[in-house]
Amino acid sequence: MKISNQNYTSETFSHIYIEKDALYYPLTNKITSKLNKSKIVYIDNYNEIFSRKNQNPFLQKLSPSLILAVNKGDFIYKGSTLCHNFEQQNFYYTNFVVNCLLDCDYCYLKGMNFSSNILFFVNLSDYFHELSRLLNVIKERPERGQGKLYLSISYDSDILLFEGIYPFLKEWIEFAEANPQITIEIRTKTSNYKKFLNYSPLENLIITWSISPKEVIAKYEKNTPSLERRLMAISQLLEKGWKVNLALDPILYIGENWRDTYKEFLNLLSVNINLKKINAITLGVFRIPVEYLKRFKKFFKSPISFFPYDTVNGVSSYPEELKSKMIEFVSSELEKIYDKRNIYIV
Amino acid sequence: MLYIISAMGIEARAIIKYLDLKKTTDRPFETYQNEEVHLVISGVGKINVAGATSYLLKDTLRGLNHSDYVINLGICGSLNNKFNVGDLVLVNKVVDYERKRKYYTDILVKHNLKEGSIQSIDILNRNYEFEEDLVDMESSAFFEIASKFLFVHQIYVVKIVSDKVSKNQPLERLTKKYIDELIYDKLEEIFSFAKLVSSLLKLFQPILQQQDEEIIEKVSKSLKLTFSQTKQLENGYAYFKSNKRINPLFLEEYFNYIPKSKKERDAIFEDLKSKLYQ
Ligand code: SF4
Repeated sequence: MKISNQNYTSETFSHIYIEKDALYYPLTNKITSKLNKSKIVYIDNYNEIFSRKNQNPFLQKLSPSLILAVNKGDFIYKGSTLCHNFEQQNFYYTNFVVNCLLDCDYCYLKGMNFSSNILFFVNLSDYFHELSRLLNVIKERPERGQGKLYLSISYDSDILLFEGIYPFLKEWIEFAEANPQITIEIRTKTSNYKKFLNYSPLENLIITWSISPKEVIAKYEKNTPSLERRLMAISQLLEKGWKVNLALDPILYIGENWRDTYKEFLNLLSVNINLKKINAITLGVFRIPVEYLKRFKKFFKSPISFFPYDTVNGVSSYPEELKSKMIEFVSSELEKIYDKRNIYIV
Repeated sequence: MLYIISAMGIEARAIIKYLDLKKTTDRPFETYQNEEVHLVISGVGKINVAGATSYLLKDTLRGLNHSDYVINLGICGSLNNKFNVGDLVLVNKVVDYERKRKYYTDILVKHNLKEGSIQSIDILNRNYEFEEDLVDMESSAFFEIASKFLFVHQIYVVKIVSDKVSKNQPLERLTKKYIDELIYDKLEEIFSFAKLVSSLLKLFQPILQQQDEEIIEKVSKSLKLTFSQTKQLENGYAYFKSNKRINPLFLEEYFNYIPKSKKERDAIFEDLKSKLYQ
C-alpha cells in the first residue's frame, strides 16, 4: 500500500496510534497483527492526533498513519444538502473510516479534516445497534419515508480500499440482508469488485462508482484506478446482478474544450458497460464549503483550489451560468444513451 | 534552517565542534550558528527551554518557514528495559508529567532510529510514576512552544539514553567526558536523520514563493489595485501557476503601467484576470 515513490518518506501506516479504549476490541488485534511492522503509539483520544491544529495534510498524504479509536459520539448523521438523497426522506450517512489513501485534488475531506491520517473506528457493533434503534423509530412512523432508510456508509473515505485490513464488508452485507428496510450505499473509485463475488447480490445494497473522464483522472485523481479498470469492475458486478449506480460527480471545468472531453467520456461509458442495467446516475458539478476551500488554498497546489468560484450560502461552486451550462450539456448528452427518469441532478 | 536546542553546554559541545558552529551571542542564551544551523543552549528545565525555544524560533514567524525544522537534542534517563544506555531514540510521544499534556511529532520520514515515548518532569529527585519509556526535564515545554511556530512535522525530540533510572535510587552523577562521548558517538546518525527531514520539507513549498509575491506587489502598486483586486490577482496568479506549471511572466508588462482613471484600471484588471484564467 505504498503511495509514495520518494524513498525517504516512510511507508503508509508506519505508525499506528491506538486509543487505550480501542485495545479491548478484537478488531484492534486483527488490524495490528496484519500491520505487524508498524510502530505503535498509545493515545488517550484520537483527537490528540487527528485534530491537532498545526498539521500539514498535504505532506501527511505521502506517509499517512493509522489511528484506531472507539467512536463514542454520533454514529449516524442526517444526509447533507450537498449530496443527493434519491428523494428519500430518511437519508443518512455514517463513517467508521475517515480519510482516504487516494488523493483527489477536489476531495472535500482535505478541507474538512485537519489531518490526512486514516481513522478507523473499531466498535462497528455500536453502529449496528444504533441503526437498529433508528430503524425501529422509523418503523413506528411510516408516514416518514415509508419506513425505509437510505444509508451511505462511505462518505468520509473510500472504504473498499481497506477491506484487506478492516473486514467490514461481511458485517454490512449481513446487516443489509437481515434488514430489508434499509438500503446501503457504498461509494468507490476503486476497482475492488472481487470481494462482492463471495456474496449473492442484494436488492438493498448499492455500489456507486464515481467515474470521470480520463483527463480528469490523470490530472486530478492521484493514485486512483484508471477509468478502464473501474468500468471493468462495474461490468463484472452488473453481470452478476449487483445494483450499481454511477456518480458523474464532480463534473469539473477542465478548460474550454470541456464539452468534447465529457462527450467522449459518455461515449466510452455506453461502449464499455451495459447502461440499461445501471440503477441510477447522479450528476453534479464541483462544490465545496467555502471554509474548506480556504484550507485547500493554504496547503494544496492544484488549480482546483484557485478557480474563481462564486460562493452562495457558504458553498463555493462555478458561477451560475457556467454551472447550468455544464449540467445541461452533460445531462442532455446522457439522456441520449440512458433513461432520463433515473438521472438525478445534485 | 535547522534549529537545535540543548539544555546543557556539555550536551552541545560535540555538536558545535562537529558542525563547526561559531558563537554569536551569550545573552539571553548562549547561541552558536553557521549558514544552515542555529543552536541555543537553554539551561536545564521547562522554563528555560520554553524561553530559549521562543528566542530561537522568533524569526520563523516572518517570511517562509516551510523548510525550517527544530530538534531538541540531549540526554535522558530510561525508565524501563526497552532502552539501554547509549541508545539513540527518536521520541514519538512527549508527555508533560505534571500537566498531563501530550504532544506527538509527525514522523513522515523513513528512518532506522529507535522510537519511544518520554515524560518531562519538573524535579528529578522525587518519586514519580514511570509512565513512559524515557524521562527528561525539557521536551514537553520545548514541544509546546515550538508548535506555536512550526507544524508538528517540523518538530523533533532526539535523545540519547545516559542512565537507567530506578525507583528510589539516587541518580548517578555523570561526568562531562562521559556525556560528551555519548553524544559524539551518535552525531552521524542524528545528522543523517536531519538530512532526511530536510529533503522531505523541501517537497512542500507553497504555490506562491517570495518572487511571486514581489511580482504581485509590483503589479498591484503600478495599477493601483484595491485590496480586493490584489487578493483576486493573488488567486489568479496561483491558478495560472498551478494549471500551466509556469509563472505568468506576461505580468511584467504591467509593471510600469499607470492607469489614468479607476475605470481604466478596472478594465485593465479584468483583461489581466481573463489571461490568468485562460
Ligand atoms: S476517492 Fe473519494 S474520498 Fe478518496 S480522495 Fe478521492 S474524493 Fe476523497
